[in-house]
Amino acid sequence: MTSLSSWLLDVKPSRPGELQITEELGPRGRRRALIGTAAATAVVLAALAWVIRRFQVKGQFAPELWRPFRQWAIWRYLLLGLGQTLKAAGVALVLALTLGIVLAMWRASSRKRKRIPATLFSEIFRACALVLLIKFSFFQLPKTPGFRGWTLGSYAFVAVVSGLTFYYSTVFAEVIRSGIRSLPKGQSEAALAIGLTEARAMHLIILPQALRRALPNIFTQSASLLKDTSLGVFVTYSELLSRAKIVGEFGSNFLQSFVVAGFMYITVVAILTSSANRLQSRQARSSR
Amino acid sequence: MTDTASSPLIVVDKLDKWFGDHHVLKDINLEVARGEVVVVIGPSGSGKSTLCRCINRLERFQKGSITIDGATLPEEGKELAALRADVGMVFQSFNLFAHKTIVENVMLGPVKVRGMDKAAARAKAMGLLERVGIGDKANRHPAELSGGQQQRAAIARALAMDPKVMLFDEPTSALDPEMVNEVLDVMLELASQGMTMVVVTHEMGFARSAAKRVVFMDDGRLVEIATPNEFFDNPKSDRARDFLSKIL
Repeated sequence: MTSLSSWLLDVKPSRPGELQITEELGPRGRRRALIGTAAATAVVLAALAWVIRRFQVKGQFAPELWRPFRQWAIWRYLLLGLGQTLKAAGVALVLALTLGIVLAMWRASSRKRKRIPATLFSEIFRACALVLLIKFSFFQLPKTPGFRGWTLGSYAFVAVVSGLTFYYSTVFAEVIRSGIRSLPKGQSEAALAIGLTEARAMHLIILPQALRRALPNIFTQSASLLKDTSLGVFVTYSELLSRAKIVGEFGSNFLQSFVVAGFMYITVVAILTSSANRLQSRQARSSR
Repeated sequence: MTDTASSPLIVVDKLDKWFGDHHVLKDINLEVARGEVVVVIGPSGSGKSTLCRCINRLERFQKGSITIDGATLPEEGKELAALRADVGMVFQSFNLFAHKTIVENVMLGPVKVRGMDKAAARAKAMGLLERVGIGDKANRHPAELSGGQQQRAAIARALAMDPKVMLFDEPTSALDPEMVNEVLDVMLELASQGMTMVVVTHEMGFARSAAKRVVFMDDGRLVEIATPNEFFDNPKSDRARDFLSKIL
């Protein structure tokens, strides 16, 4: 019982250096937490049971609906889609992060000619619905000089990547900017006092520390970016979700295809998250 | 620049500064000679730290001028950075670069600002760290050092630029009492070697033994300038007398 309750309450000893906001619970608090956790667990389990029950009632567990996933060809088709997802996400991540760093630096600058354009860019593209940015790029690209005569697939790829880049650069800029603002003022003052210019103080002293502080948020947003590649479905980009949809159309088993695709997304994001955690705990050790 | 040896190193001329409506520095005039140690004291809020920070323009000021070694303080850009390179600054809260080791902190200025090669800069940095007594901490990060050790590293970082003058902005105020002396000892040694220093401090012992002149500030004004003996034994102004009666 004690081991069960401590598992439910998640009272493990905090690692050194880890911030713990809540103090340890007293006897009444523990009782309340136990009841709350049990209630929440019951609700989740009930919902899950209801879903499974409905699946059964509607015959969604019928073997013929799941049979396509016993074929390698179907898996291969979906995995290639996952490859397209990762490709778009990877390219967009590199571009958005680079642009985001520049935007964050410019917004922190004392010069208006940097600060104002960066602020405008950020506020505008952060307020746009991502799907609109992707659709807009997709329909404008074929009319843009230099992009004429491409295949539909390349238009779709560029549209997804550019939509993600514009939107997520503003997200990353915000995350990095808050990292910059979280640094003590003394860091930049000391950098200026030894004779660094403002720009070099930013590059050498402020940005490296700000990026380190922003890293957890950068990972979280990268996972979102990865999942948002699925908006490619609106512009015929042949990524994981589009392909799951096609598989579902052929086998009349949308639900099953989407469940399989869902598990693929979950797996990739879990890998991303666990590597982020590993990186962070290593960093926490080395910076102490 | 005909007689550089006898001309003052720092000239503060009719300096006025406001924070919004608050008039923090009122008509400050001060000259600091080469090799002179000037200690600025006064109650908190008197403007002494602000004056110190104005000398390398970490604070902007609205009226008056500051001249260092014959050159007027530039307002911005590369010229200002070049001037700051010649003015060492030591802060109350040390402000070591948290992501770099101690020796990297000291090397950074010589390498990135002076263009010195890394091996030479490292050798110089190690020499300075030995001099302030923390050579064995060279490869640690700032957070691993005590306050006194961090402040000595910060002094070494400033000295690495071969500054013409060192500014100390309450260098011992953030230290645990048992660490104050290790920092003051380094400062006393610097003073005895002829470094020009402007020191904002509450350490009256240091003022007595190291200062050539004591500057007393109150309410944004420079109230009294005197030798330490004159000031501590026979202060002229009521406000200085009042201040001294509270702290001594």
